[in-house]
Amino acid sequence: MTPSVRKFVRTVHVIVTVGWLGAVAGFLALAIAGLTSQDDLIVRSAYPAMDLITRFVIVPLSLIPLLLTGPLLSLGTPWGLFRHYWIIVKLVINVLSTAILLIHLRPIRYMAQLAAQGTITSAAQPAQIQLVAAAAAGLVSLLVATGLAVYKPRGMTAYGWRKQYAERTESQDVRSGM
Amino acid sequence: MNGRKTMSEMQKPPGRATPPRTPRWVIAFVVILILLVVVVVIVHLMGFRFDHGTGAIFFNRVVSLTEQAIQYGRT
Repeated sequence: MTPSVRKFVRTVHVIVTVGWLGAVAGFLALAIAGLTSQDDLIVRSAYPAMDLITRFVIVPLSLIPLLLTGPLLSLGTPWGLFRHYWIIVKLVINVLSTAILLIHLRPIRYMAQLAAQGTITSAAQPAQIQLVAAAAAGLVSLLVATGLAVYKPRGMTAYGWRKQYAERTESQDVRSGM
Repeated sequence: MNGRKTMSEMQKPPGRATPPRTPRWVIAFVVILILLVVVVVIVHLMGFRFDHGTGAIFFNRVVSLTEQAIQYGRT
């Protein structure tokens, strides 16, 4: 990957991941408002808004780094995908967050339908709590992933170590003219 | 987000014959992940069934399979 392409992909990756973080924070605020507010209008408008944000913002923003920019940045650079623990941990966080998000599309849709009909009762409270808990967990995991991307904690996998060792030995052989 | 680090700046190249040990922060992450999964499973099993949510598909399937097994046992 050329430096200009790498810079472009990195820019897209940062925009998308930070946007995903912000969208989940907005979702959490709406979920808390839907659960705790006494104002019927707020409760009835929160869940359809959450449904829209999820379908048109959060889901696309979660899939782009997972399927496109993340693999491009790791495989197209010397970092690799399985050479460093922090990249693997980020990948695990991303896969889990996206999977949990896709699983929660159903309860979000259900709550949006109830809100549209104006029939949110105490029977829907487990689903409301579930949405708050899932959004909070998602936000924390995305914050952890962002921290990992910035700090890049040390730790090389056995595979990464072997690769780097082989590359180093190879370059030493070339330098010594063997 | 890979920053601007070059390969030489990323991690110290291995200078020994054996692979490095798994860092403590990775072990802590795995432990926390396992604990979270256990907590979610316990919450589900304690009756928070998410009737219209995540666990619905799984638990409805488990309930129907259990009912079928009981009926099969009776016949």
